[in-house]
Amino acid sequence: MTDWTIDSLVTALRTRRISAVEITDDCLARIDRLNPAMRTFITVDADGARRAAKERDSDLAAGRALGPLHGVPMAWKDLCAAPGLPTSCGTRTRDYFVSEMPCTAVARLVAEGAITLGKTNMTELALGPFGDNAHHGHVQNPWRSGHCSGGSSSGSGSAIAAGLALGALGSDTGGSIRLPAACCGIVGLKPTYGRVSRAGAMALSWSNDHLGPMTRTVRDAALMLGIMAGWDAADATTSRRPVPDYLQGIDRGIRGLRVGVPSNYYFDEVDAEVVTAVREAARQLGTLGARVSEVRVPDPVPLGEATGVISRAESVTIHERLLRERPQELQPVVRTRLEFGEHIAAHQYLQALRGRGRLTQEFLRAVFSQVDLLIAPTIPEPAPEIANVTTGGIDEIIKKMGRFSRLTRPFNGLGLPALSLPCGFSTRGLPLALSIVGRPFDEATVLRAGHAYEQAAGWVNRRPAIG
Amino acid sequence: MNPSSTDPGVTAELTRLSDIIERLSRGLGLADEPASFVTVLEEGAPGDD
Repeated sequence: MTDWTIDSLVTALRTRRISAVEITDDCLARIDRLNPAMRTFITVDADGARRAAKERDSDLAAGRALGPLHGVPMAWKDLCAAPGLPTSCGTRTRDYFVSEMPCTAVARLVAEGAITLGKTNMTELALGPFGDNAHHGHVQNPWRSGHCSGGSSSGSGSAIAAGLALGALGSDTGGSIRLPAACCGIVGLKPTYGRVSRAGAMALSWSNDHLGPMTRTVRDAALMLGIMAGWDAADATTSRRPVPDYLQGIDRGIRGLRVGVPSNYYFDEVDAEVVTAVREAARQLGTLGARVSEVRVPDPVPLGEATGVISRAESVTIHERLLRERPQELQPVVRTRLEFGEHIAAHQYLQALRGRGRLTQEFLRAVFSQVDLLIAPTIPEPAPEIANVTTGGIDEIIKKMGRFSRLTRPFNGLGLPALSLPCGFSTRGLPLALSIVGRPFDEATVLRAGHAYEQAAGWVNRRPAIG
Repeated sequence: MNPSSTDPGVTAELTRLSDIIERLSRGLGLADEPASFVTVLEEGAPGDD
C-alpha cells in the first residue's frame, strides 16, 4: 500500500494488477491498525468505502466509462460535507457543520471515481497551525511520534504520509494545507483564490479560505486539481477562467524559467537546516535550467496584518453562535482567537479588504515583472514537539502559532498559488519543505517546477518507518 | 478597534492592529473598493498583463 501513488495505482487498477476492493481493504486495515495512536481520522466509513469499491470493480469489469480516479481511496478534511457522514470541523459537536449541498470538490472527485474512506482529523474550526486537538486527539507526525503533524489539515497530511489514503482534501486560510504537507513530508497545493470552489465546506474566512489537494507527488496534485478546479454556481468567488490540463506539459522541464529567492523576510530567523535545504533546492533548480536570482519582495507584514484583521472579523461572524451559546466547548486558545474578532470595527474590516486589494496589485507588479516563480521555506523549523507548542499561557501559544505560520500566511492574503513539497530531512529525521509560488491562476507553471524538482531531488521516495 | 476588552494582551494587540490599519488606509483612495478580489487576481494572471 505505502508505495502507491494515485498515478501508479490507476494504471494498476486498469490493468487488473489490483482491484479497487483490494486497495480499499488495504487502506482500511492500515487505518484500523494505525489510527488509534495516530488520530488521523475522525470518521471512517468502512462499509461505504467497501460498497463503493465493489461498484468500481463492477464498472471496470463491465467496461463502463471510467474517470481518472476510478477506484482510488481518498479522505476528506472533516470540514467538507460528504453524503451520509457527519462533519465536526474538529469541534466536540459531531454534526457541527450541516450543509444543504455536498462539498463541490468532494463531489467532483467522487464523480471521477474516487472512493471515500472517511473524514480526517483537524485543528478545531481550522484555527491553528500545529494539528493538536483536545477533542479528537493530537494528530501524530508519521516521521516522529510526539511531533506536530502541522495544521489545520493535520489528519489529511498524516494520512497521506502514513499511507492510509492516496489523496486527501485540505483547506488553507493561513497555511493549513501547506503546513501539514511540510511537517509530514508530502505535497500540498493551495490554489489561486477563486480557482477551486469552497461550496459545501465550512468557512473560516470567506476572503482567505482555499481548498486544495494533498498527495504523495506533484503529479497526483496536478491530477486532483484538474478535477476540482473551475467555476461553480454554488461559490460566487470562483473564476470563470478555463481550467488547463495540468498534466499536459508537466514533464516539459523548467529551462529558462525565472525563479526568485526572496532576499528579505522569508529567511529571517529560520532554522539553519531549513535555510540550507531551501538554498540547495534553489541551486538544484538552477542546474535544471532555471535562471535563479535573489529578489526583494514587498514587505509581507502590512498585508499579513490586514489579512489577519479580515480573518478574525469573518471567523467570529461565521462561528458567533457557537461562541455565544457554548463557549465552554471550545478549546481556550480557539475561543480567545475567535473572541478577538468581536473587537474589530466594520470600517476597519473594510479598510483591510481595500488595503489587501491594493497591496496585492503592488506585489504582482513588483515581483512578477522580474520573475516567474518565487521559492521560499514553508515552515521556519522542522515539526516541533506537540508538548512544546500546546503548553504555556494562551498569549504565548498564540504567538507560537503566529511564528510558525508566518511564511505561509502572506500567500493567503495575496491569493497566489503556493505548492509545498519536501526538500530534505533534518538531522532528527523530520521533513523540510520548500514552497513554490506563482502568478495568479498559473498553477501549471508552479506544478511543472515542483515536478521537475521532485524528480531530480528524489525525496519523494522516502517513507516514514511505521506500520 | 472596539475598546471594550479589559484584557491587557487583547488591548495591546488591538492598538497595534488599529495603527496598522490606519497606516494602510492612508494609501487608499476613493477608487479602492473592497470587493472583487478575484478580479484583481484575474487581472494579474499570465496573458492578462
